[in-house]
Amino acid sequence: MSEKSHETYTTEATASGVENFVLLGDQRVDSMMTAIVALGSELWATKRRMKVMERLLQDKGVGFDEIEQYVPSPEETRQWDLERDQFVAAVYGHMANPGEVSQ
Amino acid sequence: MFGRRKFLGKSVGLALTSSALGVKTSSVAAAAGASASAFKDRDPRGSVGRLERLARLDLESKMNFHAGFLRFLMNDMRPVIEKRINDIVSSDGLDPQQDIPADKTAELVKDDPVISLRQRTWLSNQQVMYKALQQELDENRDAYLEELDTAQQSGPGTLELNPDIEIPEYATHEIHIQPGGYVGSPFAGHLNYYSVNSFYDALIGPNYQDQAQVAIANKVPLPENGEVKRILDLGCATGRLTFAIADRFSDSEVWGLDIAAPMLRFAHLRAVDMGAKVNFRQALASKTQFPDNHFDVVTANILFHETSPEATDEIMRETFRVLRPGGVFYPTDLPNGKQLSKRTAVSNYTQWVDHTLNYERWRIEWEASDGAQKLRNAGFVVDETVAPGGFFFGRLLATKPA
Repeated sequence: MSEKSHETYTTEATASGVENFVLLGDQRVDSMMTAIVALGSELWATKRRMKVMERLLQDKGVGFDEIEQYVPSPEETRQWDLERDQFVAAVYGHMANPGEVSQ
Repeated sequence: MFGRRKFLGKSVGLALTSSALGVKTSSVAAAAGASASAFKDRDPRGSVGRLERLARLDLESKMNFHAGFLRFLMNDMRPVIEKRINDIVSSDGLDPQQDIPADKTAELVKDDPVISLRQRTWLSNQQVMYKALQQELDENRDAYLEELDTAQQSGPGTLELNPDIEIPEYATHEIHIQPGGYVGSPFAGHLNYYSVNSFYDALIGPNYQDQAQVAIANKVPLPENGEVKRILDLGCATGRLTFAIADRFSDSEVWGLDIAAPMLRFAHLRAVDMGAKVNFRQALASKTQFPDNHFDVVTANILFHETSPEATDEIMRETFRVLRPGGVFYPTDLPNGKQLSKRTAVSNYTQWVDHTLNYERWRIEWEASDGAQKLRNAGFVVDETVAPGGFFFGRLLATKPA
C-alpha cells in the first residue's frame, strides 16, 4: 500500500536463519517457550498500565469499588473481544511456526 | 513536538552543504537550513530529553519487559550457565580454562537442559521484542514513512542518500537477528534504536539519553595541535555517537556516515527532531567520497566487528586517506590482538553463541584479527595504552603521522 507513495530505500537482506532453530529438541517445546516469553511481555505491559491507571485514578478520586462494579457497554464488549483475539494471536501465534518436518 | 529543540536547542556544528565540499549529492539530499515547518512529527507521547517515547504505553511497557528479561538472562543466569559449561567440559576430561574450540563445547553442552533453555528464551525474547516493534511500525506504516519523508526535506543538518549505491554482501546480514537487517527494512533505524535501548538497559543500565555514547565522545582524544574543524563518525547507524560528538565539538563540522539508508533516515529524523546540525551521508566507509586530508578526527563505534576482514582493511586505508596529517582515528570496538582476554571454553562458546544466535556475522573474524596491526598496515601510528572508550571495549588510538 505504502510502496506507491513512499520510497523505502531498502535492498535485500541476508536472512539470519534463526526463525526455525530448534533448541529444546522439539519444535513444540520451542514454540511454547516463545509463547511463555510473549505472555510475560503482555502481562507486564498490562501490570505497568494498571500502575499508571491506578495512580491517575487515585489522583482524581476514583475508588476501586467503582472499578469492580463497572459493566461494559455492548460496543466496549465488542471492542474488548477484538483486542482479546489480538492478545491471543500475539501470545500464541508463535505456535503456528511451521518449523521443519523431521525425516 | 515536546520541546526537544528547546532542550537540545543549541546549534551544533557548522553548516556546510555537500556542494560546498564539491561532493556529488544525490537527488534525495535534504537542504541545510530548509524549513522544518513541513516536518510531520509522529510524536504522540512526547519525548524525554533525547528519547522520543514509543508511540504507545503498551509497547513501551513491552520493551521494558524485554530489557528486564534480558537483564535476567545476562546477569542472573550467566554464572549458572558458565558453571554448567565448565562442569560439562571438565566431565569430558578437558580443562575448561584452556582454549577449547567453541564447536567442541557447543557439541558437549547442546543437550544440557539449563543451557539450552537459556539460549531458547534469549532467542524468544529477541523475536518477541522485534515482533512487537514491527507490529507498531507496520500498522502505522504510512505515518512513519511520511515522517521520514518530511524530515528528509528538513534541516538544520543535511542528509545525503545515494540511490545508486551497491551494498556489499557483508553489510546485508540480519545483525542481531533484526528483521531485514540494517538495509532490508525501511524501519531499520527504528528497530535498531529501540531494540538496542533494551539491550543497553540490560547490559550497562539505562542508556535512553545515549549516556554510553556521550561518555565515548568525551574520551575522543584530540590531535596534538588541538585543532578540530571537522569530524567524521564512520558506521554511525542511528547517530547516537554522532550527536554526542556534535555536542562536545559544538564549533566543528560533524558528519555521520553509514552504508544503510534506513538507518541514516532515522538518524536524520532524530537530528531534525532535536534541532541538531549534523550531516549524514550514505556511503561505504571504504569509499567515503570525502577529499584527502579532510578530517581532524574520525571515530568508528562498534563498526569493525560488523564488517568483513577485507572491508575492515579497506576502511582503515580510507580513514588514513581522509584524515589530515596529525589527525586521529579513535575506533571503539571489541578487544582483539594482544588485548584479547584469555580464551577459555566459556569465552569461546559465548562468542560462538553471539555469532550463531545473535547473528554477529563478523565478530569471530574481528576478534581473531589484530586491530592494532591492521591500523599500522594502513599507515597509522598506534597507541594501545589509551583508556577504553567504554564498557567492554579495547584500547586503540591511531594517529596519521604529521
